[in-house]
Amino acid sequence: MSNKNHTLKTIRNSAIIKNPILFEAIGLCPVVAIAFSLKLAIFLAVVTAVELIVCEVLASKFLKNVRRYWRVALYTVFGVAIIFPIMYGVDKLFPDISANFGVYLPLMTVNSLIALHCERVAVKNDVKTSFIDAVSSSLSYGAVAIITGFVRELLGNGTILGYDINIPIKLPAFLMPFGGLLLMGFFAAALKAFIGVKYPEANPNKAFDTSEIRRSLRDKFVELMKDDFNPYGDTAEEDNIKIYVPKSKEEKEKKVKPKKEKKSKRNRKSVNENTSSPETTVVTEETPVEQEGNRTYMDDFSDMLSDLQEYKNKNDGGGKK
Amino acid sequence: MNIFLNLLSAALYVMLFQNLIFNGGYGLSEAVRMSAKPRQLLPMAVFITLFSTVISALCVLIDLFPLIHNLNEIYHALIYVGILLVVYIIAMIIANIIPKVQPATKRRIGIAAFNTLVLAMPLINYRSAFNVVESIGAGLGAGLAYIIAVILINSGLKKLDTITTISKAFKGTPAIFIYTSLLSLAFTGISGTSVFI
Repeated sequence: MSNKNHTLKTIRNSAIIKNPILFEAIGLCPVVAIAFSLKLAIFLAVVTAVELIVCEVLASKFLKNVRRYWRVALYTVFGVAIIFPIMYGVDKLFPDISANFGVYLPLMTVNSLIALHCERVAVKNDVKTSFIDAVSSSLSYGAVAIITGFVRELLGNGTILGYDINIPIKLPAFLMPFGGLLLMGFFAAALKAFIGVKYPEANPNKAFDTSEIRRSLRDKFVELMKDDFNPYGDTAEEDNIKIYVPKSKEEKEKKVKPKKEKKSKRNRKSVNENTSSPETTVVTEETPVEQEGNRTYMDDFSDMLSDLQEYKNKNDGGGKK
Repeated sequence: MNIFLNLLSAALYVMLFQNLIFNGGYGLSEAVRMSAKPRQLLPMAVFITLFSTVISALCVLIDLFPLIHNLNEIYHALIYVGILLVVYIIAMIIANIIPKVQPATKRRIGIAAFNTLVLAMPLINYRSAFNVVESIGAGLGAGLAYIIAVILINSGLKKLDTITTISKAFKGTPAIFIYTSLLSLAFTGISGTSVFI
C-alpha cells in the first residue's frame, strides 16, 4: 500500500506539481522553437520520452558511482546514441520533419531535461523509481509540447495537422518563440490554479527557485532592522526593562575601585547599584535575572569593564614604579 | 581591419539582430534559470563564452578538411558533439589539475558546456557558411547574447517579485514566461521579422 502511495506521489510530483517545463523551466528550447505544429510537437514528445526514459534507467543502473562531472558528459554520450539513429531514420523516412527540425534535433542530445532529471532522480534512486519518474516527466513534457503545438498551429496557421479549418484571423506571431513562451505562461498559470484547488498543500513555486532574488531584498530589510534595533533592549525580562545609561569617566573610576576586592566573585552586583538616576531600574540580588545561571548581558559587560580598568590601573602603577 | 569588422558583424548578428536566446530559443532554459541566480552570471557567462568560442573555432577548422567537409549534416553534427565532449574533458582535466578549483566551478563547467546555445554555434556556423573569423565572432556574440538575456530577465524578475497585484496563479514561473515572451517579441522586432502578416 505504501509502495503504491510512493509511486503515486512520484507521478504526481514529476508530472503535475514539479512539471518540468511549466514550473521548472527546463527543456524550453525545443518546445519554444519547434513545437509550432501538432505533427512536430508529437514527434518532439516521442523523441524526448525515449531519450529521457533510456537515460534515466541507464544512469540509475550504471552511473551512481561515477563522479558528477563525468556523468554529465555521459548523459550526452547516451543522448548521441539515442538521437543520431533517430536523426538518420527521420532523414530517410520523413524528410519534411527533418527539414523542420533543422539544427534542433541534434541539440536534443544536450537537453537540460535529461541532465537535470538524471542528476536529481536517477542517480539517487532505484531503477523502478527512475523509470516511473522518467515516464511521468516525459508524459507531462509531451502533453505541454502537444497542447502548445496544437494551439500554435491553430492560431498561427489556421490548420490542424496540416488541414485548413478556415479560421477568419491568423496570428503568425504564434509560430515564433514569442508565441510559444506566451502560451506556456498561460498554461503554467492554469496548471497552478488547478494545483491550488486540487492539491492546496503543494507549492509549485518551489520548483523554480527564486529565493536568491527574494533573499537579496530580505537581507536589505534585515540590515535595516539591525541598524534601528537596540540590542540592549532585547532582554528576557520584558516587564523589568533595564535601561543602559553610559556613565562618565569619573563615575566609572569611582565604581571600579571599591570592586577591586570583590573581583573574584563571579556573581557580583550590578554596576548600576550606586547610580542615582530615577529612570534606571536597579538590578539587585533579589531580582530573578541576577540569580546564578541567569546573568544578563549587562553583568558580563560590567565585569569586562572592571577587568579592563583593573588591568589599566595595574599597568599605570607598574609604569610609575 | 577587415578581419575585425567580420568578427564584429558576426558577433552583433548573433547577439542583437538575431539574438540566439530570444529569437531562436537556444539556451533559454539556462538563461531563465540563471536569471534567478544573478551571482552565477559572471562565471557562467565566462564559461559559456569560452566554450562557444572554442567550439566554433575548432569546428570550422575541422571542416576545412575535405574528408569532413563533404559529409552530410548528420555526420557534421555527430563530429561537433564529439568535439564538444573532447573540449569538456580537457577543461575538466585542467580543472582537476588546478588545486584551487572548487567543486561548484566544475559543476558550472558542466552546465556551460552541455547546453543548446554552445552546441548550436557550430551548427549555425556550418549552415551560415561562416569562416574562422566569423565563427569566433559568432562564438563571442553567443556569450554576450547570454549575458544580455540573463540581465534582461533578471531585471524583470526583480520587478515581478515586488509587484503585489499579480494574481496568485500568475505569480512565479507563469509571469516569467510572459515577461520573457515580451522580450522575445522585442528582439523579433529588432531582427526585422514581421509578426502580423
